Amino acid sequence: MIVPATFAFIPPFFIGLITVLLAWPGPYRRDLPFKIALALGIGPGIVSCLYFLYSLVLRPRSRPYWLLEGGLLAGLLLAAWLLRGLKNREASLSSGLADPPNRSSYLLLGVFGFIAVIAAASFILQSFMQPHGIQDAWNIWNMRARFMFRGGPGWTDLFTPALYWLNHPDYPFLVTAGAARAWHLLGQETTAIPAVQAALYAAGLTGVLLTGLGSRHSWGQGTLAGTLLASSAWFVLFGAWQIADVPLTFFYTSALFFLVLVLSDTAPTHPGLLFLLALTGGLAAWTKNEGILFALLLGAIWFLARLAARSSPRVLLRELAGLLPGLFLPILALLILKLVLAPASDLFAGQSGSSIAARLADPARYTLTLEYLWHSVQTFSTFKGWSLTILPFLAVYALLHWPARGERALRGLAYAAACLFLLALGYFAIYLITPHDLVWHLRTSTNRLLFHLYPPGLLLLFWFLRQPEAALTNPQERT
Amino acid sequence: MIHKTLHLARLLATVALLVSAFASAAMYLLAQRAAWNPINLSADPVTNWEARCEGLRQDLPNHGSFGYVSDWDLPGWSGSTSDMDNEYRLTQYALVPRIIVRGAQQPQVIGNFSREEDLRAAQERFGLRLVRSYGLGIYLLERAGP
Repeated sequence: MIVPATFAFIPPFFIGLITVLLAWPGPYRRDLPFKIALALGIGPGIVSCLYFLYSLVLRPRSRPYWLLEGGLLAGLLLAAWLLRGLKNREASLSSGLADPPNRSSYLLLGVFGFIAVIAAASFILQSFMQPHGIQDAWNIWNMRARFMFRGGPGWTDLFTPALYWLNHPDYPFLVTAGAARAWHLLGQETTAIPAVQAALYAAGLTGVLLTGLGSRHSWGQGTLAGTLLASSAWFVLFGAWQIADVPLTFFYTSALFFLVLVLSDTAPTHPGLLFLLALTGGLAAWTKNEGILFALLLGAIWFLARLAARSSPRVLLRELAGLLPGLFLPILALLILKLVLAPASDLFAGQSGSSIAARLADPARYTLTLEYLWHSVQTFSTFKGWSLTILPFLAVYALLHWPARGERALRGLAYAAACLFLLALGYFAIYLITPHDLVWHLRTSTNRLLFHLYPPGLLLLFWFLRQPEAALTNPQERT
Repeated sequence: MIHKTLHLARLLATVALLVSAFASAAMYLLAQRAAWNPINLSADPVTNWEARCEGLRQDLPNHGSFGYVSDWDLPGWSGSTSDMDNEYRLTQYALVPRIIVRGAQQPQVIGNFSREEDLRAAQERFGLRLVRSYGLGIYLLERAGP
């Protein structure tokens, strides 16, 4: 069943690829590995929104949907064909600090490949052991996909207040609608679909780190970041568990990549980059509730950065015109879900200002939250007693590869790091005000929330640090 | 001299990072290998529960709300809440697109009991009549009176 399940994601992949080809500045063939990695997540994200919106208007599993998806693909292909001359003449994005790959880069790529094979083997074993995913997968994401697939026009029954609150009907539908659409295409409900979907996002996330850094900084930097991600037990587990955390970090990492590009220059940015920034930020919001906070922060940071750069209102409006088309589809789907269909989030339903203030004033909640977070940091990259953490090694590596003053253009990176830091603060604040039992809430989520910060953190750190190729090359050889 | 030392330190740091990454990935794979159980290929707990609910799936209408009572609804019960909660969620997952509501307020009620005495106690407590037994503690019940 794995092969047909994989075929079900080919149309979305091409929708994503052509979207990226059209939006990314310059000829189609430039930065192709990065565009392919991005398409692995963006395409399924776009069709997830499309399938959800379609299912609200016409019944899910009805054939006209394929006209819609096929029409979108045909339209994008036509646009790509018509614009090929223009794109060929368009100036490419400068390759930043990227050096061409050398012998050391290939060595690092070999190590990455080896560890990626180990990670893939672990992913496959885990997927076979839990074909329906972990409890959150079958209880939330896959269960709602079943409502879409089995429920016919009555699939929206899942939004009834009678449904157990832990089924979380208010959670965004990226993973859910993506699985339901692929089941519809195959004509059967198979556990291979959520597993393949999870694998695509995991591969896309690794690819974005590897090729994004490879194209903007150095291939060694990209492969090292990709290696650290692939070696993380959390990454493999959260991916194979079929939950939404790996797709979410895919969009976090991609959006921060575009934020760095957009804010590294005070000149008006290419509208395609703004479109991709908004699309990936919007799709993060369509993946999990945490992504809504992230998307809001992205917007706020972009706006503040432009204010700090004293951009004219004309520039702001021009950039806004580039952002809005990217937001349209995911935000439309999200607004309909949140404002029309779903019950209020369990985190805020029934909360009053005074109850929130009382929790915020309780120092025990701060210490307990910090204790759990610290415990999660300590157990990072460990699994069932296999205790080997890479974080101390990473800290030493970072210190030794710290760039000299003035060696990096920091503006874009600093804004993206601020966005990530504020996101972490937002997570912390949610723990402080949660109406649920705090220990239960912390126990069931701190490692996943910390993981959300890890791939985008790797992106920004390795973009900032010196490339590792220099260390692997004989100094005399370099001179 | 300083340059050479720094170069060596960077080289060592890079190699150490790669070795730690390899060790982390390999140890995790070994742990997965140790936990591997081929039975899960065809009989993981979720698939098993779905099989347990298959008869119910055939008999119940495709839409609507249905009650759910289990051991934890009986007085004096002292088992694991998380197990009970898990079985309730598994039942909902197996019976989608029906809505499974805890309690016996609906005309048709699903029973999940580990012992027959508990089934009888629940019938008496909630005024339910047994419609069908599906084996392995799964029952379809209905309200006995108006």
